[in-house]
Amino acid sequence: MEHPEELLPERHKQWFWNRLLRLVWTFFAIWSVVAVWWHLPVQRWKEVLLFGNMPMHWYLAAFISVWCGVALIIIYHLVATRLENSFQDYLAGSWHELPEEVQAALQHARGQGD
Amino acid sequence: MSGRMSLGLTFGGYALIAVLLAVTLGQRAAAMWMVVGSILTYISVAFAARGESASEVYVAGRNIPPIVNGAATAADWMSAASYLSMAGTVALLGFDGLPYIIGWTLGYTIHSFFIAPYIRKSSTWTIPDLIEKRAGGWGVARVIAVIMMFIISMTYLTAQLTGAGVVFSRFLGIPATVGVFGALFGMGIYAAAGGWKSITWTQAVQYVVLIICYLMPVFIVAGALGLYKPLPWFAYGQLIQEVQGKEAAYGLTVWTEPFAKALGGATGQLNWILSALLLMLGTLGLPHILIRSYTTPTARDARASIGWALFFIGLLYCTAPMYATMARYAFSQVWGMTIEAAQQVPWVANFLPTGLLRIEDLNGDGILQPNELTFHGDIVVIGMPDMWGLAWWIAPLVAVGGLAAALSTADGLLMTMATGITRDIYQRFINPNADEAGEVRMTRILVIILSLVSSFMAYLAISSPSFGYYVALVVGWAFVFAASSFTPQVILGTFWKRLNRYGIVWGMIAGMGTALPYVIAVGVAGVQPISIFGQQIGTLAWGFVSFMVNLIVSVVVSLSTRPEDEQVERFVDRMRLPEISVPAPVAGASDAEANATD
Repeated sequence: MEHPEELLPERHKQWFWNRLLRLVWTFFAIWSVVAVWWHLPVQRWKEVLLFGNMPMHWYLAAFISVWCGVALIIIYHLVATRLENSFQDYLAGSWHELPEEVQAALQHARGQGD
Repeated sequence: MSGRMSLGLTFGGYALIAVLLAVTLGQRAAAMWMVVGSILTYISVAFAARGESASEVYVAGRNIPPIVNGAATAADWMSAASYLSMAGTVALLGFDGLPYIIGWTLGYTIHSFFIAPYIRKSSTWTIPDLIEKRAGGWGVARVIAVIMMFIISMTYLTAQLTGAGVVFSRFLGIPATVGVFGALFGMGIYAAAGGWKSITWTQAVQYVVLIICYLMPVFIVAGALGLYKPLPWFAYGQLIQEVQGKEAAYGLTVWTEPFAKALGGATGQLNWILSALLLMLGTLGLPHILIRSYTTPTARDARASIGWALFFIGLLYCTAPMYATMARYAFSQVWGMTIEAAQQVPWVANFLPTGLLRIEDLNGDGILQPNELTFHGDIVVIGMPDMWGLAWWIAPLVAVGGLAAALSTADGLLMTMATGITRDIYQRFINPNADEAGEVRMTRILVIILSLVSSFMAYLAISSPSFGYYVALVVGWAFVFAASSFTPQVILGTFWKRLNRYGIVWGMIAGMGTALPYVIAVGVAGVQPISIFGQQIGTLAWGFVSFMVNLIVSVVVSLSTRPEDEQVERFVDRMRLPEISVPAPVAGASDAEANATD
């Protein structure tokens, strides 16, 4: 079967999805700081000089935000990958509850991974 | 012979011919070869990596490694607007141009949270295909999505070809109206060569070319100015201070002063923030970027590839403000000279005849005041080698990079539109039994036809005397349309199961119906922008409003009509959950895969 995950019991689907949602919204909140909130006190930041000569309001938008965005993707990717691996462990821990197609797919995937 | 070795030989041969021409026929012949030869090089890469099956043409066989996909995404993304016009926009607008920097980068961060892996897990082939499946197989949704895709992509493509025409014109000494057809020659041939597979590998090569060509001049100038402390990105603040010191001495508003210039026809902090947000939201909805998530082997790879893409994009985007600063610093060096002396500064003398730079003694005192030296944004990147007296071969390299940027994006857009017709209209509605070879052949013919149509539109755009807008602004409108049509649908499609077919269709229509008239009225007809909370809302910022209209209409209509059936719910589950099986190989197996996803 092409997409056996569709056949997972609702409890298993929710286990993963609820955790992923928490992760997504947490990272989205952090992203909103980088993308919006820290650009708001612009009149205050323009008086602050970074590295002795770089106006902070400028540098936040022209440099720091961009690389914070890259860092956020990397961290998110690592955490999401870890969550996906945990999900595999969770499925293995409730093996008897899984439909046969899912069991077969997991066994096949494990065989490919070995 | 390995692909890497033949690539090395191709570029080695290209460089060798340039050197031989420089020695035998002179700099001009070598410069022309560098520009034209780069296109021939891309064509050879495209043919070496051409795809034959429908899977290779539509989704690059779904086996592109994340780093290559990231580089291809970056090239797909960084257009003539990014390469040529963005630094110019920042040079002209100062802090008020920075929404382009954060807006065109931070969208990728939420792309990795909300979109990339889910699209890959959908196993669909195109965005209209995804929209239709999410709408329970309702063909109307696919047709509306194709129409939206054309509005977005054609706007964007016209701007790319305009940029390519400008590059040809500047470096080959031909009219820009003719230059757009030179661009057509390159992109049409290699886009038709082998669909997304050849485009992806060519774009990855083009990324390497464009980033080297973009960074090289600015790094050389940074060395001359002593900005390696330790890297120029951390030290160019000293140039900003010097420029602003001069501006203050002339009683001018300093360059980095917030909210001093109009962006998208309006000023103010609300306009600044909403413009940046709109560009981020538009990033999420651009079809030629969304389609990139289909080309990796797994959803995890799709997410990783977005990280690579933003890393590659960030290198250019963080350098654009440095370009802008160096250009303003160069301009400030001629302020206070006599008009006659200023006109004899070599780089000024070079650019005065082009119209990119103007000197006018407004007060008749014979001394050049800052407001008497005006410039077109494109001079910031194109003119950098001249402004700083760099070696002659740097200028054609900058042109080569500009062409790579314009062509790589144009290709992505062309293929997106061509597959929109073949896969989403012809194969879906007209001839569902079309064989794979026929489908691929039709895509290639369509690429050529669309190249001609879009080149003609770019020709009209350049020919029109009213075409005074910068490429970046025109591209910005494509983002307005993308954010107003696809972005809410793609996000809600995964994150809200209750979204149904009517919500999808009416949301897209309402979003575009809100965006399009405003862009035409304010952006083209010059109508005064409306104000919200006492602050003007420009065309870019309005895209945020039309995005919200789409979102609200989608939700309200979905809640007012019947939900989709269990099959759609399972489809959403598939997008949400990680793959637990090993993905099947797809090369040459288009029909099998397409059926399996139904």
